[in-house]
Amino acid sequence: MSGTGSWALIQAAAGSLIAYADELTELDRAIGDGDHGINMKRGAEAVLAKADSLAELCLAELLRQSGMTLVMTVGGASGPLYGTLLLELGKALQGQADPPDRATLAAALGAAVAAVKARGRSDCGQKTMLDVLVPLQQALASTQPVTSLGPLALAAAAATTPMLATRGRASFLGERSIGHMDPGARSSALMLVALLEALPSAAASPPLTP
Amino acid sequence: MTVGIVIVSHSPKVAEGTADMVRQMVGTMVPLGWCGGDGQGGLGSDVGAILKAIEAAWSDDGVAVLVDLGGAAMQAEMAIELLHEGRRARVQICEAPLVEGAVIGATEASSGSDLAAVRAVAASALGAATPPARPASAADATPPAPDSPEPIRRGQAELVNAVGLHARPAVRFTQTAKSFQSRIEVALAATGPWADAKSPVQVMRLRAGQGRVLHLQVKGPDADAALDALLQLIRQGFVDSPGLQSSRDVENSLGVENSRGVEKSIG
Repeated sequence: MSGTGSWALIQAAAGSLIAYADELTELDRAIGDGDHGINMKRGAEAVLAKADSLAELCLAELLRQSGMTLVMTVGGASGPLYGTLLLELGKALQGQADPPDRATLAAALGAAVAAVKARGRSDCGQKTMLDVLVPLQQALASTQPVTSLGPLALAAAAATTPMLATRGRASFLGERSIGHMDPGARSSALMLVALLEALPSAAASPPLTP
Repeated sequence: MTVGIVIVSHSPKVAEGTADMVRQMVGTMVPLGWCGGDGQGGLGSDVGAILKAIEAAWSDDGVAVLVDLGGAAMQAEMAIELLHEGRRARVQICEAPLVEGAVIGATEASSGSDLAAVRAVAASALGAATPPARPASAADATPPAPDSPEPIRRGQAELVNAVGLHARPAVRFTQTAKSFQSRIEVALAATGPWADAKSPVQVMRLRAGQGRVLHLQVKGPDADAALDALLQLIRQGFVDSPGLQSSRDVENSLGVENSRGVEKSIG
């Protein structure tokens, strides 16, 4: 999936962030500092603006350069967190078959999610993007059909609504964070759904048997 | 060259104001860099700006980075990871409140302490009046062995200057103490409790005002010279000491440089 195939995936994820920027900012206004949508949109636009230099790269290198762009443009905690996710994903896929098979992708995502946990000193259940990334990675590593992953991600994001935030800016609000969906969980889910929808059938290989 | 200090805030005003406070304490003795805001006029932090601030505050002895909120900490971590391998290990984030940590960390740095000591002292910035156990520091004088033949030299002097052993006098005092090899301790009574005269934080925590008498005990190869120099410094109100920057110079250095976003110290 070198060249334009990989770039189409990045375009889809970036496009989704841009399209949902207002909603993400609205969510962040409730329990954060109200700039998540704006920040992610700025990062997505910065990645898209590099089409000339990025579009022909292999998947691993594309992820790394996109991650670095997010680090340098998104700001806040989201820049380092999403930047780390893509940088580590790219690192884990370096030298692997392109496109990677599902098991390789699951392992790479596992490494990337571990890096996000370390960066944020966080884990599941703290009302963060990890509440989407961790179950998604587990599902990817299992035999669940690819078509179930998008709905799973969206449901996982929605499931952060009743959670008490214990990490990130929302944790400053204590119990007042309950009742609002986490904007980082939502943006993670939106990106994943966009990616999955853009997957060429070649990558959506049949689920591996255990 | 001392350890450098980098201030990273979400707000350019907080970063600049904190830098002003650091400069008031230590003048240009400590390399200082600061950044704040998202680079587009809003609140936030910016990895590129943090990298520039680290560059501005660079010291081969290391750089201590002070951050405010979580995002700034993560941005600073990313910035450090993007440094060249040779520099990476010499830049460390302090687990400390931004303003207090920067001021007290820079104060410690100004006396020649190493990065570990600066970080430990910054982390104790909100601590109680009890001074923290002094971390081992290569810059410290080696205390004499228990069977050292050198006698303990003692002396006392009254604080005559208006602010007593306030921040800048305390820095001057510890700098002078650090220029000697001997182990030097200071107390408000002849019986102690004794504070390490080479630790700005411990000296400041004596909270010694005008009119208080400082007791010194010194042990080491240059004890006589150390005692004379320190007693003279106290009696002269910390106004003049050969080879050291006077408090007035420190004040004059304020405002001259802090209009720049990132400044490089000549210290």
